[in-house]
Formats: sequence, structure tokens, C-alpha cells
Amino acid sequence: MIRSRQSSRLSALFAFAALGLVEMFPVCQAQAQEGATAGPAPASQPPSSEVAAPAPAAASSPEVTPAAAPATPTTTPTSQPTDAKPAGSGQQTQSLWVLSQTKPGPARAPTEAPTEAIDPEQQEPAQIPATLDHLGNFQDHWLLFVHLRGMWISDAALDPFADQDFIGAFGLGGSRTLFSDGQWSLAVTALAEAGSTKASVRGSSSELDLARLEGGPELRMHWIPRSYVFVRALPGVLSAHASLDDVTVGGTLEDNKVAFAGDLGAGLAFTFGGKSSGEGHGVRFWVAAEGGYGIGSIHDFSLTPKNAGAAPARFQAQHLDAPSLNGPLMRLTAAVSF
Amino acid sequence: MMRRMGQNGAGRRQFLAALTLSVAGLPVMAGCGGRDSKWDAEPISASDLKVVALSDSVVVADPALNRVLVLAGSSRGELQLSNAPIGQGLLSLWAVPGADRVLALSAGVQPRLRSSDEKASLTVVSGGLSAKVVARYELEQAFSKITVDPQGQWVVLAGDDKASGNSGAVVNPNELVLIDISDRRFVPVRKTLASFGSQPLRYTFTGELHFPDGTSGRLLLVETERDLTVINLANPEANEITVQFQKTQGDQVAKPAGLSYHDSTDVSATQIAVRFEGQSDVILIDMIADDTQTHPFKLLPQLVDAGGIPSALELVNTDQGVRLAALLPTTSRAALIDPQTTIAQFIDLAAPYTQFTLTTPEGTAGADEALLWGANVTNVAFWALGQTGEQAFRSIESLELQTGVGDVVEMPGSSRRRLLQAASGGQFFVLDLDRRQAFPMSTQFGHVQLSVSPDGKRAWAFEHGALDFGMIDLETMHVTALRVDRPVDRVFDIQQPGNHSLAIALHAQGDLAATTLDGHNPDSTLSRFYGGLLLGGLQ
Repeated sequence: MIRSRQSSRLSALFAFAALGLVEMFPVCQAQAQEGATAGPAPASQPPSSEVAAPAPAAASSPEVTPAAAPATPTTTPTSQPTDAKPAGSGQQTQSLWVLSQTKPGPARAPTEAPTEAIDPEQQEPAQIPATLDHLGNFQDHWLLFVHLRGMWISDAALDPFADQDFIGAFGLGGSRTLFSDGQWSLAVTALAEAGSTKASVRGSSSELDLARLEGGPELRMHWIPRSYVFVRALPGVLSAHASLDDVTVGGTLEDNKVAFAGDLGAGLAFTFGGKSSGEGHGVRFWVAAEGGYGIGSIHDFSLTPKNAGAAPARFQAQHLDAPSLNGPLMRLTAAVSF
Repeated sequence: MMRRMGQNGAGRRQFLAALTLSVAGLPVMAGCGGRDSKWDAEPISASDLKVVALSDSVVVADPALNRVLVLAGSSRGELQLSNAPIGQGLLSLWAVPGADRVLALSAGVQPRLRSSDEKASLTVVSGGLSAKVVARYELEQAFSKITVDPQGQWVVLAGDDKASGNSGAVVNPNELVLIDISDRRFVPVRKTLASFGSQPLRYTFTGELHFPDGTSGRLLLVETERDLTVINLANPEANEITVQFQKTQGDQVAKPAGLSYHDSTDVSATQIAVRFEGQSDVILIDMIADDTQTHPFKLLPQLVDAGGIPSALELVNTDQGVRLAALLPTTSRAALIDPQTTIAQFIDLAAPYTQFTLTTPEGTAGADEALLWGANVTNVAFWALGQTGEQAFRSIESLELQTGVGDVVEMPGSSRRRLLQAASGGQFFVLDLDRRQAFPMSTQFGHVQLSVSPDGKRAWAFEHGALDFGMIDLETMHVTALRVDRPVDRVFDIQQPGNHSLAIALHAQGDLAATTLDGHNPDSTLSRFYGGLLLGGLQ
């Protein structure tokens, strides 16, 4: 939380600094003023519905001519940026330019710019898209997620319980960013999963139910504001419940085992929609795909009748090798951050 | 670097995204691997249960997985399970007498269209705590009939496997295969019997016989519809000797109905006797020296009138020497025929007995003893063949049972007990041969089944599908009533380490289960139930 507040403050400072840049570059101001009184744009100008945002280099260059100004200043405010662009591109400059169009007039002292240039009604479009240096709530957030887990178990001991070497599971969990620095951040993640696999063993139904509870650190690196790659290590516990219907016994044999488990994974998360700015605590929707390797260490199932009263007396536990639950895994996650 | 990547355009972003998704999706693709088909194999049904008992283990066929399961008792009284592979397409399972081994005759893949298709085979598997394949003999074709040497050395295979549809388009019924199963490298001997238009009916392995040339050996006697073929097992590839039977009325040749052989150090006494269906004549075949020395003997048949149609025939030792004993139920008499003179001595019997079982104590060199019985006779008779001289009529003593005898269960070892199973109903008798007493045992079963412990001291009576069964101490005649939780299909008594015994009641349901009890002192309250036996050894 502290870090988040710091990020917000940093964002605000970044915005103030950006506005200060407008005052520092009179060329932009001059362009804006000239654009407001100029006649039809030269033929080389872009259509009025498009924002002919000068390139940053042009904004800071004395060689930039008024021809780069928009043809119709009054239409400019409606031409808001439609997609996030990398920091340092024309996007940021465009916002500054919009502000200068909205409030034409003589150049003001940089210290006056923040209070007079920002109209409360236009504060939203004026928010600065997140950059890798300033990710805001793209990076610092709570994350709640649901996911599907698939795990490939090559151990033949899984065969009594599964027709395929694959176990699926459904899970949910959450994470919280603990620390961030630039495009890097560290979060802690906890999740719970439950899955099962069914098969038949020589005509008798069998089932293996698995439940996991895991938690651990997750290291993230944003490569664009809307996406990050991550690696995480999630130690935890695994509960396995094996059951086998036995006609002779006249019921179900079962056994429960609890063991250490863990996952090591890496993946990619991506958010879609939502504001391009990382300011505030807006809700974002994420999808993520993860690949990795999971482990689980159950040794042996000793199956005994579920209903001991109906089972033959002195039933001798039926032993089945428990599968080694080690193998590659994948997760497909849908998440919401706030 | 990431910043640079982001700046360098969407292409790299897409590449990175695709790479990540590919890594994440890899397990999905890899997870498509299936499991071994053995887990989907059909379980055993009670009607298809093929099981044999050895002295120290019970062997159950698991044909769906081409294996046998061997159940044995550990020194702690626990059931131990092991398994061994057998050939594909199991036809039959046999115990090798006295060898604690089983034979699994398999048809292989039929029809066999590829060189990789498995051939028919005979697999020898050892029992005990750890089953293993002792020998495996590949066969050129599938055979349906197997006859196992009572001494556990030889096996003869014959007959096409019509029952399972494995029969070829053309079959030679006179072809047989001989295998010495005591030699794991033995190459099966295939031969076709000299035939005069007939085909084999039965195969009989003899014990050690003394031949006229001073040598000894064992023979395989093959009864065909029209002749008797003799194969010397010392040289099975040599030409066999065939004795043709004589034609009877209407140019018909009588079918043989059974034979007996007798060995003697007196070379002139080594003989074979054959009786025929519906014929009072029997053939006595003497082994005499072969002047050509092609064989260690040659056969000299002679036709003898038994004085009636014999239902059973046996060459026995009497106080007068070797005699051919024949039961003549049509006249309620027995005939003792001197093989040398063919003179018959007739003894009146109390009933028309049809069956003859030798009960001579093991190791006795003197005269034989026999038990006479029949399904339609309500008593049995003890025939002491050592009293055939002047008072043959006194040599037979009958014992009333009030019911016919359907079967006589032989006992292992030197036991002087026999189990007589009633021809109908659930009754059986424990017969004391020494005291000539019969102890009736009544059961609640419609059709009682009996099994005997390897030491011959206990018998188990049960019925397929019943929960109750009983153990009979054959020394004290004490019966222990037992009950298990699941219906019983078979009950066996096997030895386990430490001079203990383990009773195994098989439940052929689902994945096959067994209830075990202490063989010596069975107690239903101390039984143990083992389920899922068919899953054993699959992992």
C-alpha cells in the first residue's frame, strides 16, 4: 500500500512535470496560438479528424513550422487518443498539445500552469497513459483470479485412475503486489485448486480427487504496461483421495493422503480494455497463461471400504501405487485487479 | 531489454506471446498420452474361471491379460500374489502332478496372418511365492486336447481346436505333439500316427515298464477307433507300433472303451488289456521280444472272452499272480482271467458294480485291493485280491451307503481315506479303507464339491455360490462349519512355509477376491478377505 501511494504521488509528480514541459517549450505554445487563428491547413496537413500530433522531437525542435499545427483547433478536444502508445512517443506530447489548445493564451509561468491548465471536466482524458517507468495500477494491485490447471503425469501409477496422462483442475486465488521498481515487481500469490480424474479398472470405476493449497512469491516484469511476464514458486500441500468400486466388496474402497506439493511456473499476463492510464484503483481484467512444473509426493494408497459395515470382515487393505504427481503443468487464468 | 522489445514493434510482442502460450500449452499436447490397455481388460467371470491347485499355491488364469496369477501363503499367513505371463488365447490350464507347476496351453493369435502374430504355445509356470516361467514351447498349430503324464514328465497335444474356432481348413487328427516338459530346451516332437482310417480317442502314459530285451522305459498308449498305437517315449521319433482291432459283426470294428497295463520284472507278464464298447471280448496284448530288434519289444494280441460286457477292467496282482479283473454288471459278477491260460474265474457280487478303483496301500508289493462302486448301486465293496485262491467269494465285503456313488476322490500320499461323492444330492462319505467304514456327511448343498489338502488330512466341502462350507478332519472326522462374507466359487488347501496350511476360498466376482483361513484350525472369525486380486501385478 505504501508503495502504491508512492506510485500515485510519483504519477502526479510526473503529470505536473509533463505540464511543466509545455511551458518550457514556447514553440508548442506558439504553434497552438497560431493554429487557433490560422486559416485552412496546408494540403500536406492531416485531416482535421486526426490529431496531427507533432513528434516529440519536433515539439522540442526550433525548426518545427506552424504547418504541423492542426487545421481546426475547435475539433481537437474531441480527438482524444484512442490507444496507448509507448511512453516518450507522440502520445504524451499530444496530451500536452491538447491542453495548450484548450487554453490558448500567452505563455504563463510554469508554476501557474497546473492550476490554470487543468479543467476538472477534462481531467479524465488528460490522464497520462502508463509507461514502463510508471505502471500505476497495471502493476500495483490486488488480483483475484480463477483458473484452469492442466497437468501431465507420465507415471504409470496414474493409469488406474485416468485414461489419459492428464489431470485437470479448477482453481481460484489471489495475489498482491508487495514491491515494485520500474517494470519489475514482486507479489505474493496464494491459490487453491481442486480436480479429479475418473477411469475404470477392469470394469470397476475408479476416481482420483486432488486438492492443492499453495502460496508463494511471484516475480513480474512488465514488458508493456498491459502485459507482464512472471515466474513464481508455489510450495503447498496436496490432498489426494483415491476411490475404487469393488463388486466383490459391494461398495467403494477409498484412501486419503496428504503430502507436500509445489509448483514452479512462468507465464504471461495481459489485460484488455480499461483505461490506458495506470492512475487510481480502477478495475482491470486480465488473462494469463502459465507453464511450469509441479510436484507431489504420494507414495501408496491403501484402499479400505468406505462403508466398513457392509464390507467383508477383516478386509485386507488393497494397495495401489500412488502416482508420482510430478510433471509439466499449465494454467489458464482469468483475473480481475483493483 | 524488454523496453527495447516493446519499442521495436508488435512483431516481437506477438512472438513473445506466442512463445509463452506455446510453453503453457505444451502439457496439453503432451497430456494426450493414453494408458496401458491392461487396465481395460475384462475381469474373470465365474463361469470362465480356470484355476488349478498346486501343493503350495493356487493358480488362476487371467486370460484377458495373458497371464496366470499365483496365490500363495506367506510364513505370516498372509496371501501373497505373483504372476507370470502365458501365451495369448488360453485354451486350458493343467497342474503338473508332483511338480508344483502348471501348464498353460494357448492358441496364440488365430488366424495367424503376420509373422509377428504369436504362435500357439505351451507355457510351464512354477508355483510358490514367486511365480515364473520355467519353459515355453512354441507350436506350429493350436491343439485342443492335452494329456499330462501322471509322472509329470510328458505332455501330448492333439486335436484341432474346433471349439474356439481356431481349427484350420484342413486338420490331421492323427497328428500329435510330444513334449518332455522336464527339459526346457526340448524341441517338441511332431508325428502322425499310422492310421487305418481311424482317429485317436485317448492317450495313456504308462509307468516304467520292463521290456523283453532287458531294457525298460515308458510308453504312450493311443487308443484310436480301430487300433492301439504304442509309442516308446525313450525314442518318440521312432516308428510306433500299431495293433489293429478285429472286426466284429457287420464289418464294424468295436471302439475301445478303456485299457489297463501291468508291469512285471517277469518279462512275460508285461501286458496291456483293452476292452470295447458293447463287447464281451477283450484284447490282451503281450510284449514279446522283437527278433528284428527294431524295437525293444513287439506286441502279440490275443482275444479273450470276459464272460460278459465288462464295465471296468484292470490288470491286478492276486495271490495267484497277475489277473485281468473285469466287472460284469449285467450279471453282477466279476471275472478274474488268467492272461496266460485265458481261463476265467467268476465271483458273484452283491450288486452290479460298474467301477473299479485300486486302493492298494502305497508300497505294497503283494496282492492288490480294489473298491467296487457304481452310480446305481447303493453300496460299495472292498475286494481283497489276495484271497482269490480257494475262497474268492469271501474276498469281497460290501458296505451299505443307501445311495449310489458318483465319484471317488483320490487322496494324495499314503492316506487310507477316500471321499465318495454321492451320485446325486449333496451327500458324501469319508471311507476308511483300513477299517472298512464309511462316514456319511450330510450337507445343505445341492451339488457338493470336494477338495483335499496336499497332505490328505483334511477335506473341504463347498458349493459354488454358497457362503457356507465345511472342513472335515479326515483323521478325527470332526467337521468345522465355516462361513464367509461372499459367495464361494472354489476352496483350496495349500501348504505354506513353516508346516502350516492356508485355506483359500475364491470369490470369482468383480476383480476376483479370496478369503483365507488357517488350514489346520479354520475359524470364520479369524478369516481375512483380500479383494482386487486381478489388479495385482498390474502396476
